[in-house]
Amino acid sequence: MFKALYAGELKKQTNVKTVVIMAAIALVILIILAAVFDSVNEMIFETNTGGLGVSGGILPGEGAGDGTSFRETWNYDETTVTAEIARCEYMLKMLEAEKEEAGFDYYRNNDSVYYMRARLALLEYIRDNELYDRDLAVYTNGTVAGMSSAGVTADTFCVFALSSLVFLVIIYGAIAAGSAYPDEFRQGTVKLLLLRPVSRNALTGAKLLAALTHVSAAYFGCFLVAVALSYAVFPVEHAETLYMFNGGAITVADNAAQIGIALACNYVTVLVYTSLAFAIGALTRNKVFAIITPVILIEVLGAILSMSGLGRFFISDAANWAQFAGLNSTLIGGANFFIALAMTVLYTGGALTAAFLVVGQKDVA
Amino acid sequence: MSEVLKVVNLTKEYATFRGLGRTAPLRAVDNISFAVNSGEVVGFLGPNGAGKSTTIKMITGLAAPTSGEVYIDGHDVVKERYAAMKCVGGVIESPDMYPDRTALWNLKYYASLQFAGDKTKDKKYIADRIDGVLSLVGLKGRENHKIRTYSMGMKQRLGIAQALIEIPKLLVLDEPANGLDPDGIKEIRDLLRTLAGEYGVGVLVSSHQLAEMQLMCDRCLIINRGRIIEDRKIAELNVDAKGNVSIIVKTDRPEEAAAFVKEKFAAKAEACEGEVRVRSELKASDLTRELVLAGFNVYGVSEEEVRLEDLFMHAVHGGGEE
Repeated sequence: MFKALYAGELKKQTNVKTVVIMAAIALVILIILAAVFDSVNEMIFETNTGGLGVSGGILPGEGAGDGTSFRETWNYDETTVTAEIARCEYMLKMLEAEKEEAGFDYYRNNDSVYYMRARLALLEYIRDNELYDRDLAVYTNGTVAGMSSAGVTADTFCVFALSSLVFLVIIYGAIAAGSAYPDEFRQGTVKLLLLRPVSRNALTGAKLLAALTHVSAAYFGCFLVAVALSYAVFPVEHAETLYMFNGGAITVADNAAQIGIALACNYVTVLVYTSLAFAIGALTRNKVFAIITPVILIEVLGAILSMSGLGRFFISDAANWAQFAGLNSTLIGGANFFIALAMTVLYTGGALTAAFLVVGQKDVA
Repeated sequence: MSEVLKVVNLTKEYATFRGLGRTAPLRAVDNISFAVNSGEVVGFLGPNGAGKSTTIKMITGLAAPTSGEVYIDGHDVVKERYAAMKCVGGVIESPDMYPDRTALWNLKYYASLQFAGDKTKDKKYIADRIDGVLSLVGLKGRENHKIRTYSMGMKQRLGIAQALIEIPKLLVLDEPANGLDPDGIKEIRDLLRTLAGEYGVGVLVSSHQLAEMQLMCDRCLIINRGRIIEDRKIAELNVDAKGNVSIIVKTDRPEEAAAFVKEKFAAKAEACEGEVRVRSELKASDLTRELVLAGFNVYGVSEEEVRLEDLFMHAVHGGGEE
């Protein structure tokens, strides 16, 4: 039964016109990005580093030291790393004492303790793995993806392109998912559909899965095009890459992993917004509201809440997992991966549960 | 004949609000009970807002009853939805299908849901069924046209076609004659009679076209203000609840004849324009014989034709609830 429902929903939600328009827009964006990326990267890099070639201080004493940093290429010897570890440990104690005195026990925007822990963790990782005297691409939570002092490479462009296209994919997902139920009610087809021996929960599940399939296809389609364009236009520069994740875990990754992390983080955001659009459509039976709410209203409300410091408890910030992979210019105020994970599950799960319950019980007018 | 539909004490209430407060619920359907047998075509009549659509939606599981039960072929619509819906075909309110898809696509889609999990129904069987129902409703050759190009009449036919992809035990139709020309209406009528007569399908059909319903149905239910106020066999429209029939006798002395009938049979009788109108349990032949024996010249005798429309008007507007 579910298979038949799912197959039908996949076909019903396929809107060739929308797909063609979205694909054309995505392609134009990619081409424009490819054309201007190199010069924009140079410009931003110069602006942020004053032409020194060193961005905002992953190592204490370098750059502005405010924690807002870019991807950097490190190449340090053992002596430097040992000295900096000692210095970081000292500074971390000072900063933690300051924070305790200020009464904060959670992360806040540009939290110096947070960044110092991250710096220390990075340095310790290098020491423990003896990664001396070699090029290391370092990303931090405060990194603008792709704006690299090492110059534009296929991977940096690809990550940037994906980050740029994600909003377009979110809109596509919102249209596909947000229309799934409202279209049935607008056309009146829901009555004949429910006259079949199908359960309402199975129908809702099939619609949701079909919408997620569509948006996944759109997302990975964009990914394939972005990768192809990246490697066609920009040279490949290989460097081992260090990622900090919520100031804790660090992994050494190659270019493919860098792309993979960017892809996974943005994919979570896409799935969350698609699910929300679906749930709102099912609950309100209103297509316009379903499409607009997640894309615009949540973003607007999220921006307001972010300013008040409550952003981490709202879905627009919580679903922005890219920030934890260093794909945002700054970390959102007070952002913490585990809070974000909890909020993402809470909002998305709550909205979808409500959708299933309401569709399962509510009369078809 | 077995009961394919059994409605037991069915009630539907809607919450109503005034301002922020909740007021007394609106009772759209009020404790109704009735049944439809296999092979029977039952008309479901009522003025707008009487509770027809709400009842039909509860029967087909589109709306949840506040209380009461609906059984389709013995299966509770709420508790055994799958088994109950497997026995139902129908068109509710309007035959809306996916407008940007072809008729064939729509039928294939509905068939895939209807026969899902049934391994005995292979692709050939489904294709044959679709071909069969398209021929049955006269849409063969138009199956590859998009629904948005269809006229209302064609949509009605296609709506009936989708309901018959698997011959149902209960067919529920809401205004099936809407948008059909006279030929189309007759075809639908003949189709429903065939389905009931040859396949034993129980049909519940709702319509405002009372003359057509009189021709189409075996029985009619009239609902008003949420209550069933008439349940009458069409063949017995002439007979009222007390078993009385109206007989019209043409005679040379109507006033005297009326007085004779009142006195002899204690029946209602009134004279007008050369006729006597008698309302009683008497048979027309018995009444004629008594009048002739009493010396009246009788020129003609007929039973008054009671139209469904008369019954409906009387029931809805003339104290049918009492």
